[in-house]
Amino acid sequence: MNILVADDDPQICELLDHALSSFGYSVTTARDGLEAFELLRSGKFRILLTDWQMPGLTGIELCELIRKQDAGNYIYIIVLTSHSYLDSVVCCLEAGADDYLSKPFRPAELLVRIRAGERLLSLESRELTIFALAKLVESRDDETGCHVDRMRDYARILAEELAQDKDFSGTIDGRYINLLYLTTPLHDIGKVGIPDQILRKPGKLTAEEFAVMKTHTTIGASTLEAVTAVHKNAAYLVMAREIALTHHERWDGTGYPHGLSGSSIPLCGRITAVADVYDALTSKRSYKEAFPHERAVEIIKEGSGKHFDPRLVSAFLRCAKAFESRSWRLKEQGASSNLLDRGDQGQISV
Amino acid sequence: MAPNAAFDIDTRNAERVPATERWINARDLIDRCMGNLNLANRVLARFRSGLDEAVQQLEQMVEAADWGQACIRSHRLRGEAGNVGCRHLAELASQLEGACVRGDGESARSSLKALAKACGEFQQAAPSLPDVHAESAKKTNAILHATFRSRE
Repeated sequence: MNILVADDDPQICELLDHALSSFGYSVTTARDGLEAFELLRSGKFRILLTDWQMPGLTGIELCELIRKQDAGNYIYIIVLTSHSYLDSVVCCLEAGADDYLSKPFRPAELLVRIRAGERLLSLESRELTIFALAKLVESRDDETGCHVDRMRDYARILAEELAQDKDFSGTIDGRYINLLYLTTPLHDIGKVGIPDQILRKPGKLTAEEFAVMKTHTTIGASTLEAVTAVHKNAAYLVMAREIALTHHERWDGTGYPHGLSGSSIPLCGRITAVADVYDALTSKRSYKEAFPHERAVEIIKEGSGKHFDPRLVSAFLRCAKAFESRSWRLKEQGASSNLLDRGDQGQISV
Repeated sequence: MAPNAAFDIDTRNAERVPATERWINARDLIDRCMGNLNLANRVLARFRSGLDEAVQQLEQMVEAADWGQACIRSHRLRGEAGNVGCRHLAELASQLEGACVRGDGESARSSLKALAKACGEFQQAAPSLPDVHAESAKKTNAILHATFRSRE
């Protein structure tokens, strides 16, 4: 990790450089705010430790400029200050700093604050990586533009509604909802293993082609399982694997790939199924126009106890308006177009 | 003048601690230098070599009632003194800074007089860190090694 230290005092620069280098970081120093800003433009630095009072640009002005630019990767900013008054701390944070460190600094405190920054940056990287993978899959399919953007929003809306239900409140908490939002976009990651002539075929698939298409669930699950096995700190992908594997299972056991039924289908898979089908119904496909929201709601209602968990359908009906408004908002942002999730072929009763 | 708690302890026990301990919290400095005694001595020497000039600059600024510059310089001196573990000097510089922020000439002159006197005494009392500090460095290194081992 490269850390940029900005301070006009060579003494503090030397001390910080030595302490951070001892902790294993690579350190570059800038003697004023302008030099720091120029160095940040290289894109090499994700963490900035900056003094409050400097010639050129003060630390506060530097924070404001970095946040105003808002380009490239997020930069975690820690302001070094001997101003220990509450007003000064508020001023730092308002200017866009993430944290502050009082001078004279203590190496142990410096280390924990840097590590807090690293944790935040790794979360950002994790989210971006997952979403980038999902978008990569989406890009192979001409007709699923912005499907994953809507999917994760729908899944979150439904999970938030379910969290109010006593049957689910013990399972669904804020952490569960965040994880669901993070991993739902990977539900179709297995489509990377589906040949183009099937994935991009206009019109209805043959039975053989549909059999191949159905393997996107197992391909996705195997891929995510392999990643989880190698990288133990990627435990969050366990939910992604369950979603990829089970989002085409049906409550009555007629889904695929394993014909699971009822509560043996993981909850995250059941939630994703509702979100996935709602999006497929309300989006235009090569063989149908987009259904109005009301018609989609009716179809999901009819699928209660057959395609979907009845309790999830009840929750969906309670928050259906939120689905509709989210759908309009995202489609108005240019996400609208022809949508086709071929994994649903023959599965949705339309 | 309100006493600095940490420094006050040193003052009360002045007869039982080495002279330098009254001015420098060596453990603080060496901890900040991650147990590197050469770095601690280098930083301290640099601070000492710039101290007289800093006081002269402050005297000129206060005399000219240039509160803006005096505020910046006293703030910087406060930071430098704090970094090398000279809490007493840092406290005095902080009082001067406060007076400059308020534009309180009388208080600034009084604070500066106390600061200049303390700086002169410090220069006479603070040679390079003696052996007792090398012992502190060993302790710091032992703590650091233990810390890193516990993370492995």
